[in-house]
Amino acid sequence: MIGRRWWVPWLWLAPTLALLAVFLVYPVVDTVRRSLLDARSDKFVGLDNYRFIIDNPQPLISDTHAALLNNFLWLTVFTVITVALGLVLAVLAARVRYEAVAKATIFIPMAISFVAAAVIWRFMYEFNSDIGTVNAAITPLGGEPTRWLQDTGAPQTWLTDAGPDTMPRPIQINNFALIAVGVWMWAGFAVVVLSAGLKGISTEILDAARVDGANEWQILRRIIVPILSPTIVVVATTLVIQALKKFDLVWVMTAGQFKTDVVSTLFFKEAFLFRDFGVGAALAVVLMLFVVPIMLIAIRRFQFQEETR
Amino acid sequence: MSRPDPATASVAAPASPRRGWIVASAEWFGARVPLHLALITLMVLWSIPTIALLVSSFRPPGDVITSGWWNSIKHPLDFTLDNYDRVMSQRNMGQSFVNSLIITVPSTVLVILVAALAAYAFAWMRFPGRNTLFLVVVALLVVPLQMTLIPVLQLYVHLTVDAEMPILGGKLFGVGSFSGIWVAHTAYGLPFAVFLLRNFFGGLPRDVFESAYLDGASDLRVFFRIVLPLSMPAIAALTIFQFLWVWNDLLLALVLLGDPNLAPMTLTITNLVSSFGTAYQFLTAAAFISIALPLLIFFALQRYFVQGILAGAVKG
Amino acid sequence: MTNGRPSRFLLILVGLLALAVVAFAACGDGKEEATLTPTTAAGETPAPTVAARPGNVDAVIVWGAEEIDKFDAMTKPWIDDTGNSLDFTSTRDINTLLTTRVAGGNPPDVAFPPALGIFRDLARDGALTPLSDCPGLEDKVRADYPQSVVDLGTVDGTLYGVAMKAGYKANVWYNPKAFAAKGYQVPTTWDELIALANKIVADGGTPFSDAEEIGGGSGFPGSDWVQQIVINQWGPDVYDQWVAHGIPYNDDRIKQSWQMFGDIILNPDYILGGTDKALATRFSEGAIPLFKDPPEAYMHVMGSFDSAFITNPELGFPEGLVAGEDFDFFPFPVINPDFPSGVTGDLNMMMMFNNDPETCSFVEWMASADAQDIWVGLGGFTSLNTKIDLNAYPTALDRKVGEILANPNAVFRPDADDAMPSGVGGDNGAVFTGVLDFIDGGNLDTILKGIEDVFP
Repeated sequence: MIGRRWWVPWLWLAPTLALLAVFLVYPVVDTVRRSLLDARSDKFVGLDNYRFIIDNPQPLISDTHAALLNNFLWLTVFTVITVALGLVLAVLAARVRYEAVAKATIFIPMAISFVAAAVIWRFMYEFNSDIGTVNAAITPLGGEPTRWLQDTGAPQTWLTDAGPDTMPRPIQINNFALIAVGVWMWAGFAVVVLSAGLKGISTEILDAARVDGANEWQILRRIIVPILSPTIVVVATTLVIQALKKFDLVWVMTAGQFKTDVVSTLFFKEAFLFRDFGVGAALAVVLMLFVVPIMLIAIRRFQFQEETR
Repeated sequence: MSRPDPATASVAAPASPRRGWIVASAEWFGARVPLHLALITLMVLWSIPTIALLVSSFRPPGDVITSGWWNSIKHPLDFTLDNYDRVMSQRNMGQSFVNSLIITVPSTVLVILVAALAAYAFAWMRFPGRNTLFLVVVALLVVPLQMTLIPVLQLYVHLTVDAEMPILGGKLFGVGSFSGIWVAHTAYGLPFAVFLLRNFFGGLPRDVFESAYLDGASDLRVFFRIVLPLSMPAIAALTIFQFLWVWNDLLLALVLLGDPNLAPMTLTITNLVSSFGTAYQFLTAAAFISIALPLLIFFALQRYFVQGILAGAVKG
Repeated sequence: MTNGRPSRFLLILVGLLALAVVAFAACGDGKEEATLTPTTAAGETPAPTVAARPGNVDAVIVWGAEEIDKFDAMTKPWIDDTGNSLDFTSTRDINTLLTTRVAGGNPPDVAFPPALGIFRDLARDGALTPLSDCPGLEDKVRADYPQSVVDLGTVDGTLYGVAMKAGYKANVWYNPKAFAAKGYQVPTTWDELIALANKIVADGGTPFSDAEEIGGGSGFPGSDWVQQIVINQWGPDVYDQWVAHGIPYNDDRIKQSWQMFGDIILNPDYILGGTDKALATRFSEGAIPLFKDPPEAYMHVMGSFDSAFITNPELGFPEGLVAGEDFDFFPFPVINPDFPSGVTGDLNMMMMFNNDPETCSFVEWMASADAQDIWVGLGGFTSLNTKIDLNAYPTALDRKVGEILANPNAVFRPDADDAMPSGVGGDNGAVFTGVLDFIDGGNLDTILKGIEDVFP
C-alpha cells in the first residue's frame, strides 16, 4: 500500500470538514444551546422545552404527538414505497430501448420545484370534481369526492365505503395524499441512483443466470438486490432522512394544517411564526436524534462492506 | 468470486451474440409484453400530473380555476401563450435566469470537487476515526436548513466585504454576494455528495488500486486517472441532483442574497403571486420555464449512465 | 476507458459558464430602476454592520403580482424627487424573513407586515425605531390618522408604526341583480339575515357560500366572521378586552359568538356544499357561486379585498362584473342595537428599523395622503389617512369602504387575531386552526380552551 504521511488524508478532508463545521456543525451546537433556553434565547430553562414536546400542552396549534406520529408514517410508508418503486423501475427501464425516456418521465417530478408541484397537486386533489383530477377520476367509478388534503378520516375503499371512519392517528387520508406526492417526486431520485448502480452489474452474470433457467423475479431477488445493496442503502438512508426532514412539501400544500404536521413544519412554526426559539430548537434536536438509530444500522452495513472489500 | 476486469467488460452484448438473439426473441411474447405494459402504465400514471400542469400552462387563467384541464381538449382554440408571456415579461426575468445560472453552476462544480476529495479519503485512505467521522458527515444530512440560517447569516454579516465583484456583480463576499451563496450551497450539498461518492468509490475493485500504487502512482494521479473516470455514473447522478437543488432553491437566496438584482428565478417567480396567494396559475408556466434547463442537463448526462463501464466495480 | 470522459464532462460545464457570460452580456438591459447598491444594514444593535451607501432604502413587502406595479407607482414620486433608490424584496414568508434577518444582524430599512403580532414582537425586542426619531414624522402621523389607528401603531406608549392599506373585514357580498330577481331585501339585523336565509332555503336555494382554504392561513374567513359577531354583539370595549386578553378566550360571551357563527356555518342547508366544500375551497374563489347563472349561492362573507378578486376574470369570475350593479356588499348585520357601527379590518403596519434620513423621508412619504391617493386610485387599497381624497377611489363601492375606515370617529378595530400574540393569531395560529376544527365538527369547549391555553 502506498506509504502516506499521516496528515495526507486530513488534507483531502480539510475543505469538507471546514465547510461542514461552519455551516452545519456550528448551527447544530447553537441549536442545542437554544433548546435549553427560553423562547427569546435569554434565560436558561433546562429541559422545559423538551417537556413541552412530551406533554403536548397546545395540541391545537402545536400537536407534538401528532407530528411525531406523522413523521413515523412518512418514515415507513414513504421510504418503503419509494425504494421499491425505484428499484422496480430501474430494473424494468434497463431492459428496454427507451430507457432514457422512461427514466426521464419518472425523474421530471424531481426537477419541478416544490412550489410548482404544489400547484399541480392542488389541482389534482381539488375537491370540486369539475376541477380536481383525482375526484373526477373516481366519481364516474362510483366513489365519493374526497377532500384529499383536508380529510383527517381513515382511508376507505371508495367503491364500498367499508372500514371505520377514523383509525388511530396518523392513519389519515390526507397524510397518505401527501405521501403520494412525496413518492411521486422522489421515485425519480431512487431510479437515477439505483440505475447508476445497476450499470455496474456485469451482464454476463445476469445472462448466465437466465441461461440457467432463473426467471426475472428470482434474478431480481437473488442477484440484483444483493449486489446492489450498498446502493440501496444509500437510497434508503437518504429517503429516510428526507422523510424526517420533509418540510417544503407539507408546508406548501397544507402548511401543517388539518393534522398533517410533521416535526420540521412544527419546528418552523414555533421558531419563525410563534417566535419561540426554545421549543423550535428542541424539536430540531429531537429530529436529529431520530437519525441516531439509522446511523447505527448504517454503521453495521459499512463495516460489513469493509470486511468484504 | 473473481471480478471481471473492467477493461474488458463488454457493453451490452452477451457472451454469444447469436444465442442471445434467439433467447431474446423467444422470450419476447412471454416476458417482454408484460414488461412494456407495466413500464408504460407507470410512466403514464407518473406523467398525468405533469401533463396536467403543461396543459394548464397554456390555458387562459380564468379557465384553470373553473374547469378541469381535460376539458380544454374540447376547446383547443382557447390555448394561449398568455401565461408564458406574463412570466417572461415579469420584471427582471432575463436577469434572474442569468443569476440562477451564476448561482447554480459554480455551486455544482464546487460540491463535486470538494466531496470527491473527501470521499476518496474516506474510501481508500486509512486514518483513525475514519468510520465515525464519515457517519457524522452523513448524519448532518438531517440538519434542517432553516435552523442554520440565523447563525450563518450572522457570520456573513461579519464577513461582508463591501467591494464589488467584477463582472458578476454583488459584493465580493458575505451578504448579497454570489461567492457567499456558492460557499453555502456547497456546504449544504456536501453530506449527500460525500455519502454517494464514498459509496461508489468504495465499491471500486481493490486490484485496480493495488496495481496503480505498485506502479508508483500518487494519490492525486489515482484520483484523477482512475477513480473519477470509473465513477462517472455516480458523478453524473450527483451533478443532476445538486444542480436541481440549487436551481430550485428559494430560501437561501431570500436570506443570503437580499439584493433584488442578484435574485435567481425562484425569487422572481414568487413575485407572480400576490400577497393573497392568488394568481398562482402563472406558476404553471413558470414551472415549465424553470424546468427546461435542468431537464437538458439530465438528458445531456444520460450518456454517462452506460452499462458495463463499471462492470464488477460496484459490488457489495 | 479513455481519459476523454472527464474532459467531455468539464466541457459541458465550461460551455454552460460560457453561455452564462454571453447571456449576461446580451441581457444588459435586464437591470431596471433599482441600481446595484449594497443593502444597508444599519440597525439598533451594536454589532458590526454592512457599510451604508447613502440614498438607498431596503424594504420588505408581501405584495406580489399586480400589487407590485401599484407599489411602484406609489414609490416612484419619492424616488424621482429625492434621487434615492429603493430595493425591495417581496415574500409571503415575511414573518420568517424578518425574524431571520433581524436575528442575523441584517434587518431591512422598512417593512410592511400584514399583521400586528410580529410588529409588536419586534418593537418589544428593540428592533424597531420609534417614529419620533424622525423629525416631524410623529406629529404628522398623529395629525393625519384617527386616534384608534395611531393607537394600533403604539407599543408600550411609543409610536412605532403607521397602519396603512387597510381593508374592512366582514362585508357580506351579494349579487344585487340576483336579489332583485327573487325579491330579496338586504338585511340589516341578524334576525333579518336568518329570516332571509330561511327564505332562500324555502325557495330551493342555498344562502351562503363559504371558503376557508389558503394554506397556513386557512380558517381566517371564519375568524373574521366570529370577531365581527363579537364586536357587534358585545361592543368595542369587550372586544378590546378580549384582544388584550383581559378576558379569557373561552369566556361565555365569546362562546356565544362562536355559537352564533356555528348557527350558520354548521347548518348544511345554509352553506353551499356543506362544511366539506367550505373547508376545501380557496378563499379567493368563495364568491364565484354568486355569479353563476342561476346563482348557486346568494351571500358571501369576506373582506373588502374581495372586490379585487371579483373584478378579475383570471381568478375564475365572469368577465365584466360592475361594482354596485352586479356585485355589492352590505355591512355585517347589527346584532345588538347598542353597538351598531363596529368595523373590524386588516392592515399592513409600516415600520422602520433605523432613522437614516432616507428611511425617514421614505416613511413620511408613504404615510402621507398624497402617496396613498396614488394607490387608492389604482384600486385594491383602502387608506386610513383622514386627509385622502375620497374621490380618488375608483368605484363607489371602494369609496364606501374608504369612508367607513377613514372616518375620524370610526370605531375601527384591527382584526382580532392579527392583534393577538403570535401563536394565538396569525397563520397556523390557534384561532385559525380552531375555526377549521369547529367547522369540521370539533367540540367548541375544547377548542376554546385550546386557544386560551396558547396565550403566554
